[in-house]
Amino acid sequence: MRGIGAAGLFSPFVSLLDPRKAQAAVGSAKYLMIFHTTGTDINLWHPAGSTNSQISFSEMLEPLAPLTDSLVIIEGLDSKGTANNHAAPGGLTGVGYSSNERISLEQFVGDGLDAQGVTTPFSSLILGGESSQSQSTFYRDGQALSPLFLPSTAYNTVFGGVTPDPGNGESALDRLARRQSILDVVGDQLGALSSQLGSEERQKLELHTDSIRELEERLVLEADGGGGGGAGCSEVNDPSDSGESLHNCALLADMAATAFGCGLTRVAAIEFGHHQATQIGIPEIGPGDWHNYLHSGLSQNLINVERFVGEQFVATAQKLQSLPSPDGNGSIYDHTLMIWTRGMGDAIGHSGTDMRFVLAGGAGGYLNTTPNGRYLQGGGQAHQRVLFNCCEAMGITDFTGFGSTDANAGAREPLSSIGS
Amino acid sequence: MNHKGRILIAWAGMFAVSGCYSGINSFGDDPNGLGDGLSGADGGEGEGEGEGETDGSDDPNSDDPNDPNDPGGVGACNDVGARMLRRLTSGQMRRTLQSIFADEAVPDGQVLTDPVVHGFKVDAREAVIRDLGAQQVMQYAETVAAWAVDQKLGQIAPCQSMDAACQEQIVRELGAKFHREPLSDTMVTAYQGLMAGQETFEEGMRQLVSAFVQSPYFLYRRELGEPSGDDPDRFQLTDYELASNLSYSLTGGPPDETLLELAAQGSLRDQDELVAQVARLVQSDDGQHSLEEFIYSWLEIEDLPSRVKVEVPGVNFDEDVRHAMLTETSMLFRHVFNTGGTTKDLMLADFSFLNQSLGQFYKIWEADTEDHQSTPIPDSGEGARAPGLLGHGSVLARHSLVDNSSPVARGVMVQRRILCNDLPEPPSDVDTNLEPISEGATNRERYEQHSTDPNCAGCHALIDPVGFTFEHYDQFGLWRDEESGQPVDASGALVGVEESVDLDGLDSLAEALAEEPRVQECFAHFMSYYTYGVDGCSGESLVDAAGGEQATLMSTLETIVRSQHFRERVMGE
Repeated sequence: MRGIGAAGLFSPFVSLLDPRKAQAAVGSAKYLMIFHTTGTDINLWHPAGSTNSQISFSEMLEPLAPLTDSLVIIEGLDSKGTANNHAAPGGLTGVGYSSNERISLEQFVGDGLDAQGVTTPFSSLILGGESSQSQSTFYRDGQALSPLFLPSTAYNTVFGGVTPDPGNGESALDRLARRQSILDVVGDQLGALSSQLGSEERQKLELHTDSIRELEERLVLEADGGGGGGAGCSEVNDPSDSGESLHNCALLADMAATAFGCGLTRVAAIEFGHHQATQIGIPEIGPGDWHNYLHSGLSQNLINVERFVGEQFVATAQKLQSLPSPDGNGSIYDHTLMIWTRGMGDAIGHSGTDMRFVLAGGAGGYLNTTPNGRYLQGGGQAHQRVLFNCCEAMGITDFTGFGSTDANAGAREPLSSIGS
Repeated sequence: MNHKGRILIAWAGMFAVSGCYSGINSFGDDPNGLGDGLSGADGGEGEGEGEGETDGSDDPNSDDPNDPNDPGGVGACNDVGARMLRRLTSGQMRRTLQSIFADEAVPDGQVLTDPVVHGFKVDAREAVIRDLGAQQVMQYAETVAAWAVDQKLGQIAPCQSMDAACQEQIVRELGAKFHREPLSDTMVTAYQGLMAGQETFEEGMRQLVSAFVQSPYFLYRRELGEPSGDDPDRFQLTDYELASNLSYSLTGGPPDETLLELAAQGSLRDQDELVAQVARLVQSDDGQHSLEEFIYSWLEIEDLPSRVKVEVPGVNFDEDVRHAMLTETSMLFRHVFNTGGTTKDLMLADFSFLNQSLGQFYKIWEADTEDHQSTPIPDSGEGARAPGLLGHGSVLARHSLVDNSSPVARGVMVQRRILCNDLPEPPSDVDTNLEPISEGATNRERYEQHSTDPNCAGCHALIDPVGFTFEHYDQFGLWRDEESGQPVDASGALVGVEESVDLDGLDSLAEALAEEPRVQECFAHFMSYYTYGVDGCSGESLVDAAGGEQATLMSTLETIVRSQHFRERVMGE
């Protein structure tokens, strides 16, 4: 066992993490912004000397300092075998490959908000990642989902998507009718094909049919004048694609914040890099391969890339701080829970026994923060409990269908010490 | 340690190797070891290794396509999969539109995402349209429709009026191109209804083209078939389905006029005609491009141009060199394929295809041409290199680190991609950090800690001895006699095969692999996956049916097309 994990067993903060006894407090955060990366070098990450009322930043974490008074960081959590190697799916789902019912946090929260009657054109957005690699971060019904990889694609889909100005004087209702008539024909054709297939293959077309249904809902919302132009809606920066995937991710994070401001979605997740192969040509980071940084002892490069992600985390937070909340009550940041999650714990050891999170944001007052930041030791509690915290912050307290129900995975409750 | 290879999948056709740990904890808690989440990737259609026994005629020429009792095929992949749809890949979609409009300038759009499975982008199960997919397709369809009406109206509309006869003619003719088969009357009526609802002819055409692009009959290839013979649960693929299957699998594009005419005549169910078309399509430019795509995916070298390397003075590993390396590999593979060569030839070719920049890079040949030309590869002296594909810069540089070679990456590549051996990822809780290189230590000495660490030794006993044989080639694929001031030691062994072979250097590995039957089988297995989009076909049975030791790359592909899997289906679960 590596040093930090052992120290965690004797941490004075373990007592803070007792399962919540009282009724869970429902959070009132309205937005969820997720950053996702692979695991890290836990020794380099560890903010030595931190307490539950102060963070002493390691070099790797130092870029997060501007957010100190809204920052909670936690390590020493256990994925319970669900996030302990390349492509293990537990990071955002809490379950491993033994379950076929994987759903990742952003999907579950998106569904939860839909159930609460929150109507935005996109129930969640998943962005970033590497298109040339196999996908293993975002899931629904056990199937891996592909993010929108490129800024140009995301821009066209999210902003140019259902509300382009055709420039031909066609009314919104006429356009809706024209599009729906095609979708009706497409739907009939899907039905005809589906009837010729066995159930396994039919599921493929059901996904297509669901996608059309969701599109129709967005089209109707748009024709009704909803679904865009929020109080904080601002211009999107140049969506030109870069050859550097991390630069693309930075742009996508900015775009996600803008989408919040425009009322297009309440939930976004950006995957920075890929657990297996992320080529980095950015001089101030590498050049090199993120995976090699971990396994070839390239500590400074690893610190650099983690700092880069941290800087984007802060930039995104600051963007959200600049966007007024639609209800006139503070900024969107005040109502956002930001979280930096990981697909593995100790990535050098391919281990999921020491998971860590960075949480930030006003979160509608949900986060228990201090002026000097807050550091917690997880003491081996299940990492999915922090995922439950995220749900709870968003006002979702029924976790049915999310995370592991295995008794070995620990309590199906949020950690008591994160929410205020 | 650096595992450049793809996440390992316990898929049918892979060989389990003994001596390596059995994957406990290696894929989260996945009891099946399906490390990339492919819950159906190990033969969900009931396909499996060991099937495909010859139970009919051994003579492919004796097949009677009209005889339902004749299993056809020649003993490989005769297990029949479920009726299915295969979503076009992004490249296939683009190529299809280019073909329909006879113009390469069709608007571009990043619409479809092609999941990477087994190193390829052809997976039939994982390629779907979901979530925001329908919206992306709709937006793209509207863009294409606007472009087509603006630029191509005269070409796609033989008549231009709103009367019903004109509309029907357009729908039938253009629709057959999008659907890749004649439209039923019901479909024609539905499409005509869309046109008729618009005020002007141009608006009607925009509506029609937009609908065609969004149609599942455009977006998916059908492998449905129709009932045939006495067994109501068996479906024989239609001629039009066979035409599409053949064309997309072999050329990445839609069926051409010849295939559609043969389909209209009902000729493609004749296996000899089908196989005759294989030869024609493979020789086409698109067929050659498809072979190139295959070899880049098989060897996992496609992303060489974007691989980061730490610059070294005097080494000009620029964009030209990287692309020239890929072209070299493409040309050698296609040359061997086109000239009746075998996997042995892929391993032992003593010539290659170089242009000026690559010739200079290898220090082999200098000529004032950007065209790649067949060039002998010296086996000694200046510019000496190992023969065959494994001596190519593309393979050597791609399967390396940013600043050094990687015996592990290269060993893993050989085991997984050339031998189809099953190697799991490293176990949990093993510190995979290598010790920093101490002054004067070689790369080999650094990696040799694997053999002493019991957590690593099992798998690395299969990886490192193979990888060490590459050690004369640095991270750019350039020859080196010394590393860290010491002579390179490239001794090793071919392990993970029936009988291990002691080796010294990459030439000896190439020679050993040339004699290793598993290389043929592994090629056959990957080629069948590339063609079918589903795995499960036994490489061994394919090679047996394709001529055993004499099996050529081409005869293997023909066997894949002759197999029952290519032309029959059952309903499926």
